[in-house]
Amino acid sequence: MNDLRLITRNISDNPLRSWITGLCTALVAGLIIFSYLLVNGSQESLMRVTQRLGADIAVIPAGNQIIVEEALLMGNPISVWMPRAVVNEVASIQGVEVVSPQLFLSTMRGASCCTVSDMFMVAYDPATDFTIRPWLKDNLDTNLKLGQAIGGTYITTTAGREDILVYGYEIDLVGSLESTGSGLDQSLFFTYDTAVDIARLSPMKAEAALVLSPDSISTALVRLTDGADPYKVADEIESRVRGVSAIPAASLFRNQREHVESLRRNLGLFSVIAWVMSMVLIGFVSAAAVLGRRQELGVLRALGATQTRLIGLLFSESALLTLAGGMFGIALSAVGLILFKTLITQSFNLPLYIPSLPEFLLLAGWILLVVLASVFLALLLPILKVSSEEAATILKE
Amino acid sequence: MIKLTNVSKEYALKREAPVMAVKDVRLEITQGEFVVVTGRSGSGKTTLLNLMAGLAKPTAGSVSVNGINLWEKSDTERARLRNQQLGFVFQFPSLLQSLTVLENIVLPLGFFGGAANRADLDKARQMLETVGLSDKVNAVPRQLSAGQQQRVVIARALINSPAILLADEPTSNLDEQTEVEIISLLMDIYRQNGITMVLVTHDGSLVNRGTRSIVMSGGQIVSDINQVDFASVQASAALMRSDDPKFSISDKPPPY
Repeated sequence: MNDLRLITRNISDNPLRSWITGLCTALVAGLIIFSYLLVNGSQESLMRVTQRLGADIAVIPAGNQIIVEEALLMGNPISVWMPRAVVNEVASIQGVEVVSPQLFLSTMRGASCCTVSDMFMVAYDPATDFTIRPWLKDNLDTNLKLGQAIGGTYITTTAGREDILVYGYEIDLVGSLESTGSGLDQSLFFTYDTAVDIARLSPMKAEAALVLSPDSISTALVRLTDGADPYKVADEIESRVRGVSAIPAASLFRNQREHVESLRRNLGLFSVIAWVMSMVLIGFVSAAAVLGRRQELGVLRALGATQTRLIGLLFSESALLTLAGGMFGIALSAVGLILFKTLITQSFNLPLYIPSLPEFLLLAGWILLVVLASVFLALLLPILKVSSEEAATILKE
Repeated sequence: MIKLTNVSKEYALKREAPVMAVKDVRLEITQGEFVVVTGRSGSGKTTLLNLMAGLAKPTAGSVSVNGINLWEKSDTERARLRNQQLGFVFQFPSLLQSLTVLENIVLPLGFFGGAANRADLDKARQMLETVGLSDKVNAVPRQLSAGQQQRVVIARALINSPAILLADEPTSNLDEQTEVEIISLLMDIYRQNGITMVLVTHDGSLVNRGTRSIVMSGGQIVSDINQVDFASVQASAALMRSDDPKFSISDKPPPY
């Protein structure tokens, strides 16, 4: 008869205690990991999008901050425009090192000429670009040619094809960017020349033409010289260039950051309440279970079990239940988060970065440890009480 | 074999004055003795047994088993001694309800010897045969009668071939017929193995069954009579067999 068998038999013989411990730990572990993945996944995503833009300041048409931000984060197709002349005006301001214009486009919805419906697309200027170029240099060691594009992590060619149709134009996908958890993962990046070429050919190839105004851009990304204050420069841009908003990187996605912060507070509070209530419940139920088995523990002592072994047996029972419940809760949360990612991101109107499997396993391991430690803490008192009593006293009762 | 030197045991009670369960007891039990401890309820019999087993720590005095002072040893060493040198039969149903009969019997083997091997299981089956329950190997305790459960407890107590068997009112919850069977079984074990046995009972009629009779009152030994030697017990057992059909002694060899 080994200890594991004794432990499993005791678990199955105490269904109430076992179910309560298992379900409570599943709830707590699931809630913690869900909250963590949602909040940190959103924060990570916001950080990655900001990094992807790589700009110190984003200049956009005035009054469009929210829809531009949502386009970047959620991949919502938009069409905002401002005159290309803004680029030169901004470039002339002190502290500005480079200004790179970008044009936001989108594919048609439900049209056979577009492989992906409603896809967010970014056309950039290779001459001034500083956001896509570093990635190209590190990964492809070449610039994008006409008709070539790189895609977000979820942009792939369909089976049997090596290209993606955009307004009937065959785009050669030459690389994929790392995941950001945002709409940029479902976006396509190509040069202005490619965008112009698509627009030129679209009347012949697509169900509707892509209309571009050669003098319009959607955003101008600004890189500052060393030591320049982004807020001061942004103020200067807004005061000198009419009809634009200049947003320092740190202020970009401010609404979303506040939303995430509020989510963190609410979910954090909810998790703490669930955690405390679960631990109290587990403590009570386990205490009742342990105290109800006092005579059995006394018998085991008489038969030769050491105090340490008994404590080990009792903690092992709880550890097994906690691990089983915790893993179930974590798995359920993770699967739910992955399966319903779109629904969740739309409900919270936030991007969501899903960590890699090793990152997730590490996180799950930490959460299991925390829950395990909490359950041990809840059990400490009844177990120590029983194990510190003389075996004779227990047997007498 | 078991030596208690000026042993006292006091129990602290909540909101009441402490109770002196055992007072200044001096007792030496030698190998092969069959000691029957009697006394009224609350006289300290069970506490005395628990002191002998190291299950209760004396408030004063010392307890040694085979020359080992129990309370100078670590918890692990005391547990090992209980596991390997002492066998227990309790007055209450003490089988683990979650385990089968066979698993209950081999349970003590796991505490210091690892998981039970085939030889251990064979020995446990043999024990069950000795106590007349060979068909109950895979039964769980709730499927057994109180008397059958107590027989399994006796088999469990003997699985490690202990030098000393401590029985605390092993028949108190049993009907008269089953009581006779259990006492008969214990006497068989004693007769055939020369095991040292301490039997605590409130049943005065059992006094003459042992080689030594101790009577306790108020936590003290008030009478300690070394009445018969081992041969006399055999004779009395034989006499009992002829006089009282309720008692019988098995001629089967012991399994250990």
